[in-house]
Amino acid sequence: MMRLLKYWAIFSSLAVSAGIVALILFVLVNAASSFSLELLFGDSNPWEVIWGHKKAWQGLWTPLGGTLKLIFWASLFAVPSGLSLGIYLAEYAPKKRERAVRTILETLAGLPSVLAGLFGFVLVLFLNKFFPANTCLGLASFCLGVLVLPLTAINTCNALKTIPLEVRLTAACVGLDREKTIFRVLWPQVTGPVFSGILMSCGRCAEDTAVILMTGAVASSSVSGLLNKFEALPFFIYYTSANYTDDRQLSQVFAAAAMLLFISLIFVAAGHLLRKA
Amino acid sequence: MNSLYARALTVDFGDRRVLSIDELAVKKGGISVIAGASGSGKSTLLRTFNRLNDFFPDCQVKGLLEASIDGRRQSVYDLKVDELRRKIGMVFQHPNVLPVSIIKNFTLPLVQGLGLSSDQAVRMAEERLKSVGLWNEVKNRLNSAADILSGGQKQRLCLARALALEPDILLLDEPTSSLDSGAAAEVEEYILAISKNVTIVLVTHSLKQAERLGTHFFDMEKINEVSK
Repeated sequence: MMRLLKYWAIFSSLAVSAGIVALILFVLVNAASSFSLELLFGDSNPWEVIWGHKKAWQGLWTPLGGTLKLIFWASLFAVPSGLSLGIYLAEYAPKKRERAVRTILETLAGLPSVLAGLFGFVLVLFLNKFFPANTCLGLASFCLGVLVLPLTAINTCNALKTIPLEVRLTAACVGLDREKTIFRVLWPQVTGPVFSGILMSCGRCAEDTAVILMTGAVASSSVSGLLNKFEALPFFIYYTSANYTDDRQLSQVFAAAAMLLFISLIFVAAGHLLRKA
Repeated sequence: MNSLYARALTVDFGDRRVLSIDELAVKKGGISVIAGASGSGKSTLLRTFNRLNDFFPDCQVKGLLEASIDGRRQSVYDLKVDELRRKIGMVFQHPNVLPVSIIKNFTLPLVQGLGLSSDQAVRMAEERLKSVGLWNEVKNRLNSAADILSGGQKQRLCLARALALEPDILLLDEPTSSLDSGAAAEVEEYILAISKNVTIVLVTHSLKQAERLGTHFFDMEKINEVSK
Protein backbone atom coordinates (compact mmCIF):
# COMPACT_ATOMS: atom_id res chain seq x y z
CA MET A 1 0.00 0.00 0.00
CA MET A 2 2.80 2.41 0.98
CA ARG A 3 4.64 1.60 -2.26
CA LEU A 4 1.48 2.32 -4.26
CA LEU A 5 1.09 5.67 -2.48
CA LYS A 6 4.73 6.50 -3.20
CA TYR A 7 4.33 5.77 -6.92
CA TRP A 8 1.09 7.75 -6.99
CA ALA A 9 2.85 10.72 -5.38
CA ILE A 10 5.70 10.54 -7.91
CA PHE A 11 3.24 10.23 -10.79
CA SER A 12 1.16 13.18 -9.52
CA SER A 13 4.15 15.47 -9.12
CA LEU A 14 5.49 14.54 -12.56
CA ALA A 15 2.03 14.96 -14.15
CA VAL A 16 1.51 18.40 -12.58
CA SER A 17 5.02 19.60 -13.54
CA ALA A 18 4.62 18.24 -17.07
CA GLY A 19 1.19 19.85 -17.37
CA ILE A 20 2.52 23.26 -16.32
CA VAL A 21 5.53 23.04 -18.64
CA ALA A 22 3.26 21.93 -21.53
CA LEU A 23 0.89 24.83 -20.86
CA ILE A 24 3.71 27.40 -20.81
CA LEU A 25 5.21 25.92 -23.99
CA PHE A 26 1.79 25.94 -25.67
CA VAL A 27 1.33 29.64 -24.83
CA LEU A 28 4.87 30.52 -25.97
CA VAL A 29 4.66 28.56 -29.25
CA ASN A 30 1.33 30.15 -30.15
CA ALA A 31 2.59 33.60 -29.16
CA ALA A 32 5.90 33.24 -31.02
CA SER A 33 4.61 34.58 -34.34
CA SER A 34 3.48 37.81 -32.62
CA PHE A 35 6.70 38.67 -30.78
CA SER A 36 7.82 41.90 -32.41
CA LEU A 37 7.81 45.62 -31.68
CA GLU A 38 4.45 45.76 -33.44
CA LEU A 39 3.01 43.54 -30.72
CA LEU A 40 3.67 46.28 -28.18
CA PHE A 41 3.22 49.46 -30.20
CA GLY A 42 1.05 48.52 -33.20
CA ASP A 43 1.84 50.85 -36.09
CA SER A 44 2.85 53.76 -33.79
CA ASN A 45 6.41 54.96 -33.42
CA PRO A 46 7.76 53.16 -30.31
CA TRP A 47 9.80 56.16 -29.08
CA GLU A 48 6.87 58.52 -29.38
CA VAL A 49 4.74 56.08 -27.38
CA ILE A 50 7.43 55.46 -24.74
CA TRP A 51 7.96 59.21 -24.20
CA GLY A 52 4.21 59.71 -23.97
CA HIS A 53 3.90 61.94 -27.05
CA LYS A 54 1.48 59.58 -28.70
CA LYS A 55 -0.88 56.81 -27.61
CA ALA A 56 -0.53 53.31 -29.04
CA TRP A 57 -4.05 52.47 -30.15
CA GLN A 58 -3.01 48.98 -31.13
CA GLY A 59 -0.57 46.66 -29.42
CA LEU A 60 -0.09 45.66 -25.81
CA TRP A 61 1.81 48.71 -24.55
CA THR A 62 -1.27 50.40 -23.07
CA PRO A 63 -2.71 47.26 -21.38
CA LEU A 64 0.77 46.43 -20.08
CA GLY A 65 1.08 49.94 -18.60
CA GLY A 66 -2.44 49.64 -17.16
CA THR A 67 -1.53 46.35 -15.48
CA LEU A 68 1.63 47.82 -13.95
CA LYS A 69 -0.29 50.91 -12.76
CA LEU A 70 -2.91 48.61 -11.25
CA ILE A 71 -0.20 46.70 -9.33
CA PHE A 72 1.40 49.96 -8.19
CA TRP A 73 -1.77 51.61 -6.88
CA ALA A 74 -3.11 48.40 -5.31
CA SER A 75 0.22 47.87 -3.52
CA LEU A 76 0.35 51.50 -2.43
CA PHE A 77 -2.97 51.04 -0.69
CA ALA A 78 -2.59 47.48 0.56
CA VAL A 79 1.07 47.16 1.57
CA PRO A 80 1.43 49.98 4.16
CA SER A 81 -1.97 49.18 5.69
CA GLY A 82 -1.30 45.42 5.63
CA LEU A 83 2.13 45.81 7.22
CA SER A 84 0.82 48.14 9.93
CA LEU A 85 -2.09 45.83 10.68
CA GLY A 86 0.22 42.80 10.81
CA ILE A 87 2.59 44.55 13.23
CA TYR A 88 -0.34 45.72 15.36
CA LEU A 89 -1.80 42.21 15.56
CA ALA A 90 1.51 40.56 16.41
CA GLU A 91 2.87 43.12 18.85
CA TYR A 92 0.11 45.28 20.31
CA ALA A 93 -3.34 43.72 20.01
CA PRO A 94 -4.85 41.94 23.01
CA LYS A 95 -5.30 38.20 22.39
CA LYS A 96 -9.09 38.36 21.90
CA ARG A 97 -8.92 41.24 19.44
CA GLU A 98 -6.12 39.54 17.54
CA ARG A 99 -8.19 36.37 17.16
CA ALA A 100 -11.27 38.31 16.00
CA VAL A 101 -9.35 40.40 13.44
CA ARG A 102 -7.44 37.35 12.19
CA THR A 103 -10.71 35.51 11.57
CA ILE A 104 -11.98 38.46 9.52
CA LEU A 105 -8.69 38.69 7.59
CA GLU A 106 -8.62 34.96 6.89
CA THR A 107 -12.19 35.15 5.57
CA LEU A 108 -11.25 38.14 3.42
CA ALA A 109 -8.15 36.33 2.10
CA GLY A 110 -10.29 33.40 0.99
CA LEU A 111 -12.85 35.64 -0.68
CA PRO A 112 -13.48 34.83 -4.38
CA SER A 113 -12.10 37.80 -6.31
CA VAL A 114 -15.38 38.33 -8.13
CA LEU A 115 -16.89 39.30 -4.77
CA ALA A 116 -14.22 41.98 -4.33
CA GLY A 117 -15.21 43.25 -7.78
CA LEU A 118 -18.86 43.20 -6.82
CA PHE A 119 -18.00 45.11 -3.67
CA GLY A 120 -16.34 47.80 -5.80
CA PHE A 121 -19.31 47.93 -8.15
CA VAL A 122 -21.77 48.30 -5.26
CA LEU A 123 -19.51 50.96 -3.74
CA VAL A 124 -19.76 53.00 -6.93
CA LEU A 125 -23.57 52.65 -6.93
CA PHE A 126 -23.63 53.83 -3.32
CA LEU A 127 -21.27 56.77 -3.95
CA ASN A 128 -23.37 57.78 -6.94
CA LYS A 129 -26.11 58.80 -4.52
CA PHE A 130 -23.88 61.62 -3.25
CA PHE A 131 -21.80 62.64 -6.29
CA PRO A 132 -21.13 61.40 -9.81
CA ALA A 133 -18.86 58.34 -9.41
CA ASN A 134 -17.82 55.73 -11.91
CA THR A 135 -15.71 52.63 -12.16
CA CYS A 136 -12.05 53.54 -12.74
CA LEU A 137 -8.41 52.56 -12.21
CA GLY A 138 -8.50 53.90 -8.61
CA LEU A 139 -11.52 51.77 -7.73
CA ALA A 140 -10.06 48.65 -9.37
CA SER A 141 -6.76 49.17 -7.52
CA PHE A 142 -8.60 49.63 -4.23
CA CYS A 143 -10.60 46.40 -4.77
CA LEU A 144 -7.44 44.47 -5.68
CA GLY A 145 -5.82 46.00 -2.61
CA VAL A 146 -8.65 44.59 -0.51
CA LEU A 147 -7.52 41.14 -1.71
CA VAL A 148 -3.82 41.79 -1.08
CA LEU A 149 -4.17 43.51 2.31
CA PRO A 150 -5.27 40.46 4.35
CA LEU A 151 -2.48 38.31 2.88
CA THR A 152 0.09 40.98 3.75
CA ALA A 153 -1.28 41.46 7.26
CA ILE A 154 -1.49 37.73 8.06
CA ASN A 155 1.96 37.10 6.58
CA THR A 156 3.52 39.95 8.60
CA CYS A 157 1.79 38.87 11.80
CA ASN A 158 2.85 35.22 11.35
CA ALA A 159 6.44 36.17 10.59
CA LEU A 160 6.73 38.33 13.73
CA LYS A 161 5.11 35.62 15.85
CA THR A 162 7.73 33.08 14.84
CA ILE A 163 10.44 35.12 16.58
CA PRO A 164 11.04 33.50 19.97
CA LEU A 165 10.06 35.32 23.18
CA GLU A 166 13.74 35.18 24.24
CA VAL A 167 14.64 37.77 21.59
CA ARG A 168 12.03 40.16 22.97
CA LEU A 169 13.20 39.53 26.55
CA THR A 170 16.82 40.10 25.55
CA ALA A 171 15.99 43.35 23.78
CA ALA A 172 14.02 44.49 26.82
CA CYS A 173 16.90 43.59 29.13
CA VAL A 174 19.28 45.85 27.23
CA GLY A 175 16.88 48.74 27.71
CA LEU A 176 15.25 48.88 24.29
CA ASP A 177 11.65 50.03 24.46
CA ARG A 178 8.86 48.27 22.59
CA GLU A 179 9.08 50.38 19.42
CA LYS A 180 12.86 50.04 19.16
CA THR A 181 12.58 46.32 19.81
CA ILE A 182 10.03 45.96 17.02
CA PHE A 183 11.69 48.15 14.42
CA ARG A 184 15.39 47.65 15.22
CA VAL A 185 15.50 44.02 16.35
CA LEU A 186 12.41 42.10 15.22
CA TRP A 187 11.58 43.80 11.92
CA PRO A 188 15.00 43.17 10.27
CA GLN A 189 14.50 39.48 11.06
CA VAL A 190 11.28 39.24 9.07
CA THR A 191 11.72 41.64 6.13
CA GLY A 192 12.73 38.78 3.78
CA PRO A 193 9.67 36.57 4.31
CA VAL A 194 7.29 39.55 4.60
CA PHE A 195 8.38 41.20 1.36
CA SER A 196 8.52 37.91 -0.51
CA GLY A 197 4.86 37.43 0.52
CA ILE A 198 4.03 40.92 -0.70
CA LEU A 199 5.69 40.32 -4.06
CA MET A 200 3.80 37.07 -4.53
CA SER A 201 0.52 38.85 -3.71
CA CYS A 202 1.42 41.52 -6.31
CA GLY A 203 1.66 38.71 -8.85
CA ARG A 204 -1.96 37.96 -8.03
CA CYS A 205 -2.87 41.62 -8.67
CA ALA A 206 -1.41 41.34 -12.14
CA GLU A 207 -3.49 38.38 -13.21
CA ASP A 208 -6.87 38.97 -11.55
CA THR A 209 -9.57 39.48 -14.15
CA ALA A 210 -12.79 39.17 -12.16
CA VAL A 211 -12.12 42.30 -10.08
CA ILE A 212 -11.15 44.61 -12.91
CA LEU A 213 -13.95 43.30 -15.12
CA MET A 214 -16.46 44.91 -12.76
CA THR A 215 -14.50 47.95 -11.68
CA GLY A 216 -13.31 49.82 -14.74
CA ALA A 217 -11.30 47.77 -17.23
CA VAL A 218 -12.20 48.45 -20.87
CA ALA A 219 -10.98 47.20 -24.23
CA SER A 220 -9.80 50.64 -25.27
CA SER A 221 -9.46 53.85 -23.32
CA SER A 222 -8.48 57.22 -24.69
CA VAL A 223 -7.28 58.84 -21.45
CA SER A 224 -5.23 57.53 -18.56
CA GLY A 225 -5.56 58.52 -14.93
CA LEU A 226 -6.61 57.22 -11.56
CA LEU A 227 -10.22 58.32 -12.11
CA ASN A 228 -10.48 56.99 -15.66
CA LYS A 229 -11.26 53.63 -17.12
CA PHE A 230 -8.17 51.68 -18.08
CA GLU A 231 -6.77 48.87 -20.17
CA ALA A 232 -5.11 45.83 -18.61
CA LEU A 233 -3.58 42.61 -19.89
CA PRO A 234 -6.04 40.17 -18.23
CA PHE A 235 -8.98 42.09 -19.67
CA PHE A 236 -7.31 42.21 -23.08
CA ILE A 237 -6.94 38.41 -22.98
CA TYR A 238 -10.53 37.93 -21.84
CA TYR A 239 -12.01 40.36 -24.35
CA THR A 240 -9.92 39.53 -27.42
CA SER A 241 -10.16 35.77 -26.98
CA ALA A 242 -13.94 36.11 -26.93
CA ASN A 243 -14.07 38.38 -29.99
CA TYR A 244 -11.06 37.55 -32.20
CA THR A 245 -11.58 37.58 -35.91
CA ASP A 246 -8.27 36.26 -37.26
CA ASP A 247 -5.21 34.21 -36.31
CA ARG A 248 -3.16 37.38 -35.76
CA GLN A 249 -5.47 38.52 -32.96
CA LEU A 250 -5.47 35.06 -31.41
CA SER A 251 -1.69 35.04 -31.48
CA GLN A 252 -1.75 38.44 -29.71
CA VAL A 253 -3.89 36.88 -26.98
CA PHE A 254 -1.23 34.24 -26.43
CA ALA A 255 1.46 36.91 -26.46
CA ALA A 256 -0.47 38.90 -23.82
CA ALA A 257 -0.81 35.70 -21.76
CA ALA A 258 2.93 35.11 -22.06
CA MET A 259 3.58 38.67 -20.95
CA LEU A 260 1.28 38.27 -17.96
CA LEU A 261 2.98 35.00 -17.10
CA PHE A 262 6.33 36.76 -17.29
CA ILE A 263 5.19 39.59 -14.96
CA SER A 264 3.82 37.10 -12.41
CA LEU A 265 6.98 35.04 -12.71
CA ILE A 266 9.16 38.09 -12.01
CA PHE A 267 7.22 38.80 -8.81
CA VAL A 268 7.30 35.18 -7.65
CA ALA A 269 11.03 34.85 -8.46
CA ALA A 270 11.81 38.13 -6.68
CA GLY A 271 9.81 36.89 -3.71
CA HIS A 272 11.76 33.63 -3.57
CA LEU A 273 15.08 35.45 -3.91
CA LEU A 274 14.16 37.77 -1.03
CA ARG A 275 13.13 34.81 1.12
CA LYS A 276 16.48 33.13 0.43
CA ALA A 277 18.42 36.32 1.12
CA MET B 1 22.58 49.84 52.40
CA ASN B 2 20.23 47.61 50.46
CA SER B 3 20.44 47.34 46.71
CA LEU B 4 17.16 45.51 46.26
CA TYR B 5 14.29 45.25 48.70
CA ALA B 6 11.03 43.31 48.52
CA ARG B 7 8.22 43.12 51.08
CA ALA B 8 4.92 41.23 51.00
CA LEU B 9 5.78 40.13 47.48
CA THR B 10 3.50 37.68 45.69
CA VAL B 11 3.66 36.49 42.10
CA ASP B 12 0.82 34.55 40.50
CA PHE B 13 0.58 32.97 37.07
CA GLY B 14 -3.15 32.76 36.49
CA ASP B 15 -4.57 30.96 39.52
CA ARG B 16 -1.23 29.49 40.55
CA ARG B 17 0.87 31.28 43.14
CA VAL B 18 4.56 30.71 42.49
CA LEU B 19 6.13 33.23 44.84
CA SER B 20 5.24 34.56 48.27
CA ILE B 21 8.01 36.40 50.12
CA ASP B 22 7.57 38.30 53.40
CA GLU B 23 10.78 40.26 53.15
CA LEU B 24 13.98 40.16 51.16
CA ALA B 25 16.84 42.64 51.36
CA VAL B 26 19.81 42.30 49.00
CA LYS B 27 22.87 44.20 50.25
CA LYS B 28 24.80 46.57 48.02
CA GLY B 29 28.09 45.25 46.62
CA GLY B 30 29.46 41.75 46.17
CA ILE B 31 27.56 38.74 44.90
CA SER B 32 24.28 37.82 46.55
CA VAL B 33 23.45 34.24 45.74
CA ILE B 34 19.87 32.99 45.65
CA ALA B 35 20.04 29.22 45.71
CA GLY B 36 17.25 26.70 45.39
CA ALA B 37 15.94 23.73 43.52
CA SER B 38 14.54 23.95 40.00
CA GLY B 39 11.01 25.33 40.03
CA SER B 40 11.43 27.08 43.38
CA GLY B 41 10.75 30.49 41.82
CA LYS B 42 14.33 31.82 41.58
CA SER B 43 14.06 33.11 38.01
CA THR B 44 10.59 34.52 38.63
CA LEU B 45 11.98 36.43 41.62
CA LEU B 46 14.82 37.89 39.55
CA ARG B 47 12.38 38.94 36.83
CA THR B 48 10.24 40.87 39.32
CA PHE B 49 13.10 43.30 39.97
CA ASN B 50 13.47 44.39 36.34
CA ARG B 51 9.74 43.91 35.62
CA LEU B 52 10.43 41.29 33.00
CA ASN B 53 7.39 39.34 34.23
CA ASP B 54 5.33 42.03 32.43
CA PHE B 55 5.94 39.99 29.29
CA PHE B 56 3.77 37.17 30.60
CA PRO B 57 0.14 38.28 30.23
CA ASP B 58 -1.24 36.06 32.98
CA CYS B 59 1.44 37.05 35.52
CA GLN B 60 0.39 39.25 38.45
CA VAL B 61 2.99 40.80 40.74
CA LYS B 62 1.94 42.43 44.03
CA GLY B 63 3.91 43.90 46.90
CA LEU B 64 6.63 46.44 47.59
CA LEU B 65 9.63 46.26 45.26
CA GLU B 66 12.43 48.77 45.65
CA ALA B 67 15.88 49.21 44.14
CA SER B 68 18.77 51.55 44.82
CA ILE B 69 19.32 53.26 41.51
CA ASP B 70 21.67 56.21 41.02
CA GLY B 71 22.11 56.20 44.84
CA ARG B 72 18.39 56.65 45.46
CA ARG B 73 16.05 53.99 46.80
CA GLN B 74 12.88 53.95 44.73
CA SER B 75 10.04 51.69 43.68
CA VAL B 76 10.77 49.76 40.51
CA TYR B 77 7.41 51.03 39.25
CA ASP B 78 8.46 54.68 39.55
CA LEU B 79 11.08 54.45 36.83
CA LYS B 80 10.46 54.21 33.10
CA VAL B 81 10.61 50.48 32.39
CA ASP B 82 13.38 50.66 29.75
CA GLU B 83 15.49 52.85 32.05
CA LEU B 84 14.88 50.41 34.92
CA ARG B 85 16.06 47.53 32.74
CA ARG B 86 19.22 49.40 31.81
CA LYS B 87 19.97 50.09 35.47
CA ILE B 88 19.13 46.54 36.54
CA GLY B 89 20.84 44.47 33.85
CA MET B 90 20.21 40.78 33.36
CA VAL B 91 22.00 37.80 31.89
CA PHE B 92 20.01 34.65 31.21
CA GLN B 93 20.64 30.94 31.68
CA HIS B 94 20.97 30.43 27.92
CA PRO B 95 23.29 32.97 26.32
CA ASN B 96 20.79 35.23 24.56
CA VAL B 97 22.60 37.27 21.96
CA LEU B 98 20.56 39.63 19.81
CA PRO B 99 20.20 38.20 16.27
CA VAL B 100 22.58 40.80 14.84
CA SER B 101 26.36 41.14 14.52
CA ILE B 102 28.73 41.02 17.49
CA ILE B 103 29.33 44.78 17.43
CA LYS B 104 25.64 45.57 16.91
CA ASN B 105 24.87 43.69 20.12
CA PHE B 106 26.55 46.67 21.75
CA THR B 107 25.82 49.56 19.43
CA LEU B 108 22.09 48.85 19.19
CA PRO B 109 21.37 49.28 22.92
CA LEU B 110 24.04 51.93 23.44
CA VAL B 111 23.03 54.12 20.49
CA GLN B 112 19.28 53.45 20.42
CA GLY B 113 18.80 53.08 24.17
CA LEU B 114 21.42 55.26 25.82
CA GLY B 115 21.79 57.78 22.99
CA LEU B 116 25.57 57.43 22.62
CA SER B 117 27.22 58.18 19.30
CA SER B 118 28.35 55.22 17.19
CA ASP B 119 32.02 55.96 17.95
CA GLN B 120 31.39 56.13 21.69
CA ALA B 121 29.40 52.88 21.49
CA VAL B 122 32.19 51.08 19.63
CA ARG B 123 34.78 52.30 22.15
CA MET B 124 32.58 51.16 25.03
CA ALA B 125 32.10 47.77 23.35
CA GLU B 126 35.87 47.32 23.03
CA GLU B 127 36.40 48.25 26.66
CA ARG B 128 33.73 45.84 27.94
CA LEU B 129 34.79 43.01 25.64
CA LYS B 130 38.29 43.39 27.07
CA SER B 131 36.92 43.25 30.62
CA VAL B 132 35.47 39.79 29.97
CA GLY B 133 38.52 38.61 27.99
CA LEU B 134 36.67 38.36 24.69
CA TRP B 135 38.24 41.20 22.72
CA ASN B 136 41.17 39.23 21.27
CA GLU B 137 38.84 36.41 20.21
CA VAL B 138 36.39 38.65 18.31
CA LYS B 139 38.24 41.81 17.32
CA ASN B 140 38.73 40.62 13.73
CA ARG B 141 35.12 39.56 13.21
CA LEU B 142 33.06 42.22 14.95
CA ASN B 143 30.68 42.37 12.01
CA SER B 144 30.04 38.61 11.98
CA ALA B 145 26.76 37.28 13.37
CA ALA B 146 26.91 36.90 17.15
CA ASP B 147 25.22 33.53 16.72
CA ILE B 148 28.42 31.91 15.46
CA LEU B 149 30.22 32.31 18.81
CA SER B 150 30.55 29.34 21.15
CA GLY B 151 28.28 29.07 24.20
CA GLY B 152 30.94 30.40 26.57
CA GLN B 153 31.85 33.26 24.25
CA LYS B 154 28.18 34.19 23.83
CA GLN B 155 27.68 34.26 27.59
CA ARG B 156 30.73 36.49 28.05
CA LEU B 157 29.37 38.72 25.29
CA CYS B 158 26.07 38.94 27.18
CA LEU B 159 27.96 39.86 30.37
CA ALA B 160 29.98 42.50 28.51
CA ARG B 161 26.84 43.88 26.85
CA ALA B 162 25.05 44.13 30.19
CA LEU B 163 28.10 45.88 31.71
CA ALA B 164 28.31 48.32 28.80
CA LEU B 165 25.01 49.82 29.94
CA GLU B 166 26.68 50.61 33.28
CA PRO B 167 24.00 49.02 35.47
CA ASP B 168 23.79 49.57 39.23
CA ILE B 169 22.71 45.97 39.71
CA LEU B 170 23.29 42.90 37.56
CA LEU B 171 20.91 39.92 37.74
CA LEU B 172 22.45 36.62 36.65
CA ASP B 173 20.00 33.78 36.09
CA GLU B 174 22.04 30.55 36.31
CA PRO B 175 24.58 32.02 33.87
CA THR B 176 26.80 28.94 33.69
CA SER B 177 24.27 26.11 33.74
CA SER B 178 24.17 25.70 29.95
CA LEU B 179 27.96 25.80 29.55
CA ASP B 180 30.60 23.07 29.70
CA SER B 181 32.85 23.06 32.77
CA GLY B 182 35.73 24.94 31.06
CA ALA B 183 33.52 27.74 29.76
CA ALA B 184 31.64 27.85 33.09
CA ALA B 185 34.90 28.31 35.03
CA GLU B 186 35.90 31.12 32.69
CA VAL B 187 32.55 32.90 33.09
CA GLU B 188 32.72 32.49 36.89
CA GLU B 189 36.15 34.09 36.87
CA TYR B 190 34.80 37.16 35.08
CA ILE B 191 31.75 37.33 37.34
CA LEU B 192 34.10 37.53 40.32
CA ALA B 193 36.12 40.22 38.59
CA ILE B 194 33.17 42.45 37.70
CA SER B 195 31.57 42.05 41.14
CA LYS B 196 34.07 44.64 42.39
CA ASN B 197 32.24 47.34 40.44
CA VAL B 198 28.62 46.26 40.39
CA THR B 199 26.17 44.59 42.75
CA ILE B 200 25.43 41.10 41.46
CA VAL B 201 22.45 38.92 42.29
CA LEU B 202 23.17 35.40 41.12
CA VAL B 203 20.62 32.63 40.95
CA THR B 204 21.94 29.08 41.01
CA HIS B 205 20.90 25.56 41.91
CA SER B 206 24.51 24.56 42.53
CA LEU B 207 25.56 24.85 46.15
CA LYS B 208 29.22 24.54 45.14
CA GLN B 209 28.90 27.52 42.83
CA ALA B 210 27.10 29.43 45.58
CA GLU B 211 30.04 28.74 47.93
CA ARG B 212 32.62 29.68 45.31
CA LEU B 213 31.06 32.98 44.31
CA GLY B 214 28.69 34.19 47.01
CA THR B 215 29.21 36.91 49.58
CA HIS B 216 25.57 36.90 50.77
CA PHE B 217 23.24 33.91 50.63
CA PHE B 218 19.50 33.33 50.35
CA ASP B 219 17.87 29.92 50.41
CA MET B 220 14.82 30.02 48.17
CA GLU B 221 13.15 27.24 50.16
CA LYS B 222 13.32 29.43 53.25
CA ILE B 223 12.30 32.78 51.79
CA ASN B 224 9.56 31.59 49.45
CA GLU B 225 6.46 30.58 51.45
CA VAL B 226 5.21 28.59 48.43
CA SER B 227 8.33 26.38 48.42
CA LYS B 228 8.21 25.59 52.15
